[in-house]
Amino acid sequence: MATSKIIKEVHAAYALPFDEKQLADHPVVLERHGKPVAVVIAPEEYQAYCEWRDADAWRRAELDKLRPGREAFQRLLPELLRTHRDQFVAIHDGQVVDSDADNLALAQRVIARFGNEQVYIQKVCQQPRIFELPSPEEILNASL
Amino acid sequence: MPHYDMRMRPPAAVIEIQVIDLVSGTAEHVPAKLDTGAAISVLPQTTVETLQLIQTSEAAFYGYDGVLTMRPTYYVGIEVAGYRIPVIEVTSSRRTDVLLGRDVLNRFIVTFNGKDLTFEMRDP
Repeated sequence: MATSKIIKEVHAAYALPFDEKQLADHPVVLERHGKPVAVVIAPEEYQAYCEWRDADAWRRAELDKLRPGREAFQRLLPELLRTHRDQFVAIHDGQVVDSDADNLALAQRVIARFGNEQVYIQKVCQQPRIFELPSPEEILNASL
Repeated sequence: MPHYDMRMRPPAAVIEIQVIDLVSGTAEHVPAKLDTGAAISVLPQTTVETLQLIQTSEAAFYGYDGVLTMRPTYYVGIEVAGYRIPVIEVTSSRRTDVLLGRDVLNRFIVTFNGKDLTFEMRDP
């Protein structure tokens, strides 16, 4: 059986005139019809970007596994602020299963009870806990 | 007294510790840099993967540039300088060594002798 194909006119290839040395100073933004469509960066910068992107994707994936517990915590938070303010609570299957003013004591009990099952432990307060971590991250590849 | 790790630029106080998964009891030996600037300790991502640690909580962390980032946290045991700490809360990042923060250091008498490039870490 015959198949039909549509013949298309071949478009002219795009020309991209720029000096590679520019990349050492700043990225080159490629525009089409006045809008940016791509950015050209030096290979070393791309390598560093890929490492950052991989690390960030891993961090986001780890945080995503906490989503059911986080959602349950936020759903229960108005009531918990009345009953457990400034304490730590452990949430399993959408329910508070234990609480303590000491998160380390709570974690030990919860891990002994639930083992590898996903449990969400959080402090009952309006704002997320904030820690200072001023040490710069280790840079594996960098260019000057 | 242990010597600073001369491979660091500039040299730094580094100690070998054991990170212990509280569920399985599995442990990994990792070098740890003593970091009085860090509020809590930080594990390398590879240690989290090797020990198959389960994220249990999350918190916001601000770095030297003031940028806030949400990170997962984990509860682990550690053994450091011959002492066992049954449980601490740690976070993780893409590093090759542990950052041993004030959550651990404040349990010890730590003496830095920068002139001599030696340090001491002991439990009173």
